[in-house]
Amino acid sequence: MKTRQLLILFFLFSSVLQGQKTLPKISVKSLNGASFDLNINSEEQVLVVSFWATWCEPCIKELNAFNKNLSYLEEELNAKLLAISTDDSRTVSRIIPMMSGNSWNFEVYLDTNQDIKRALNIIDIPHTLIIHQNKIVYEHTGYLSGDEDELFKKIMEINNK
Amino acid sequence: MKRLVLIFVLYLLVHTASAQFLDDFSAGLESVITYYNDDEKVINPGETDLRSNNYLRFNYFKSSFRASLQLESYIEEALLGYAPEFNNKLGLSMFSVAYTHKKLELSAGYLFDQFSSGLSFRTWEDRQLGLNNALVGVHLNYELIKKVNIKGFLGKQKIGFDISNGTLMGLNAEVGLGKGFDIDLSIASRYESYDTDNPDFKDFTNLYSSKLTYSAKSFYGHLEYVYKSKDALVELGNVIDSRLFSGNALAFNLGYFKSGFGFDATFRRLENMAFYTDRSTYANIYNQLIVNYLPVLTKQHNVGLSNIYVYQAQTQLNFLTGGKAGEIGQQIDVFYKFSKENSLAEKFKTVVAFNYASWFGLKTDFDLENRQYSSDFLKYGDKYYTDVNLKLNNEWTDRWSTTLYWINQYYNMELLEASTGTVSTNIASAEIYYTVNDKNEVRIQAEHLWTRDDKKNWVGGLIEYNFLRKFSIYVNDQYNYGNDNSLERIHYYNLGGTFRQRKTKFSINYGRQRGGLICVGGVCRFVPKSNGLTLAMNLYL
Repeated sequence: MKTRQLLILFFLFSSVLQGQKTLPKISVKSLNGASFDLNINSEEQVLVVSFWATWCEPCIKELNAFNKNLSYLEEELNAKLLAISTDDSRTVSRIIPMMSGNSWNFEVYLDTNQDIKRALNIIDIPHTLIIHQNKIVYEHTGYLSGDEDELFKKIMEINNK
Repeated sequence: MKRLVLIFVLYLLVHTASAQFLDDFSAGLESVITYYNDDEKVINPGETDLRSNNYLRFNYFKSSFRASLQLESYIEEALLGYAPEFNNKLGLSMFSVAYTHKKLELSAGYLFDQFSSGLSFRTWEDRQLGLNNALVGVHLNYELIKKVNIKGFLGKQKIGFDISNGTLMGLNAEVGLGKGFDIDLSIASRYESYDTDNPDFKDFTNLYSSKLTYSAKSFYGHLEYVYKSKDALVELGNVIDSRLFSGNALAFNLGYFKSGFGFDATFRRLENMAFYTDRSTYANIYNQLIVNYLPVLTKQHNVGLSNIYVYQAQTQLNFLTGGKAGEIGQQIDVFYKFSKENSLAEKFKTVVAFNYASWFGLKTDFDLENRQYSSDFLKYGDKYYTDVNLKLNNEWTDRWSTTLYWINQYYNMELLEASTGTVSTNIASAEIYYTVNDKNEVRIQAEHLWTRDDKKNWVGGLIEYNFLRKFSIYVNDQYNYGNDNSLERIHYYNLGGTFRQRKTKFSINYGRQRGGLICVGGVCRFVPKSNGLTLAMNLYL
């Protein structure tokens, strides 16, 4: 009996702990210095935020997959992709040539000293989040081809709510 | 039954009271636990078998207020290769609070920031390197008017669970000049008093930095110069106050891009730029109390065998190993995606990445006995390192993709390791990804290193199988089959698995570490050869 009660208690409390997190105040800068406020923009549309770096092979595979599905993501799912680069000043100059060389059409933002990564308590990259109405709705670490489909399903669920 | 009701009521109460708090609160645990065990080929250094590094970080925010706290433990000792200061420690490692009001941000505690590209000041955390040089003090950021931002700081610096003797302070202004031009000006200073008879010796050492950036539709570039005021020579932890030297850094970057093509070139020269908050920690191997960020400008490859001969930026003034004052060199990157319609290269989505880096010593004239030297500003000295490499990515079908890599390296062991000889290598790697179905994926990699020098040829390989989108298992090996010494022909094998569910991750690995330099972001840490079983996890709240 006691074990059962304890189990119930554990699951109830862990459900409290697993609730959707509120997004801290975050504004990111794009490569050309323009600011983008995640809090304000997430009120209007779903944001897909992908933390990556030029030296991270699975990150590049994930971004290639997003780029392939970009018009679907932007037009049909009405979501915006933000690729936030955690490259520090050793590799930050490789971002633009890599983007152009891969014909990526989404915007890249900078987190050169990993302040945003730290504020969101992210340990490893690639790390991808869905943000909507100031809540972190979904988070995912690592990338295997096809992971983007699960992400698109989540966005569809949000849009259908 | 009553008890169940009681529990439920209690739950509702806690839920209501804590839900909002918990929504604004997050925690992340990163834990790496290794049990080291000897085998007949690899004897672990150190007495302790069970070692672990654990980091527990809490973040909290409420409207304009932010707070964070980080606990760390290294039980029984830190993993091999980390600074011994961490051994057997458990406790509060960092905390910080910050308040933002309109365009002003004030923060206090353990803080991370950098000026410009970090050549004069950067504090950051890298757990793989065991590097955390957080500023311990106060920091201010203020957007004065549109496109004019100023920031400043004052404090000590974190070393292990302790803080520095020296004090750091700095001021920085970023100004948008319009028409694509930006300028960044800063001064970063270190104060450490020292009892000396030399009237020229200053307790303050200042780094003055200026950077001009330009960006246009398809061009960008920057020019950066840093001057470091005179500071005493330090040898093996001893401050030689009769010998004072200034330092400087010059960097120039240029890029051109259009859809399907990108080019980037960087030139950099560093002279006596290594800078530490406590003079006595100059050139310590654990990168403790580093003030500025002087990363090596080479490409970090995803090929295991390319990490045997690793170049590190030469930043120190050193009279003990024949005389060295810095480095000079360049790096070029080219990315190209084939887009000619109906061509095979376009059909198979071919992307080429080319990279070239070469680094030299400064042209110098050393008087080793009297501890004096002079240098030529833009002349190249002895060759330290080159790396020419080409990477080819293809997507053959929706299921098949490959990456081919070729790397040619030159590594001057005599000058870089105070050893003998030089090493020239050719490394080839082929990697295949195959998607079996929407839940399963296979990755196979084979690589080979050819050299007639040092330890001769190596071969390596990896097989990884990802299944059910949550699990992966792998086995890999690196084998120095060409070594002249048969006892050194060792298989550095590893096998393991990972489980991930959303952002939670557990992994297990058993095998041998080859030893050598682990480098992240161009900063390296030496790890010894070892054998062990490692459990690692990332857990979140």
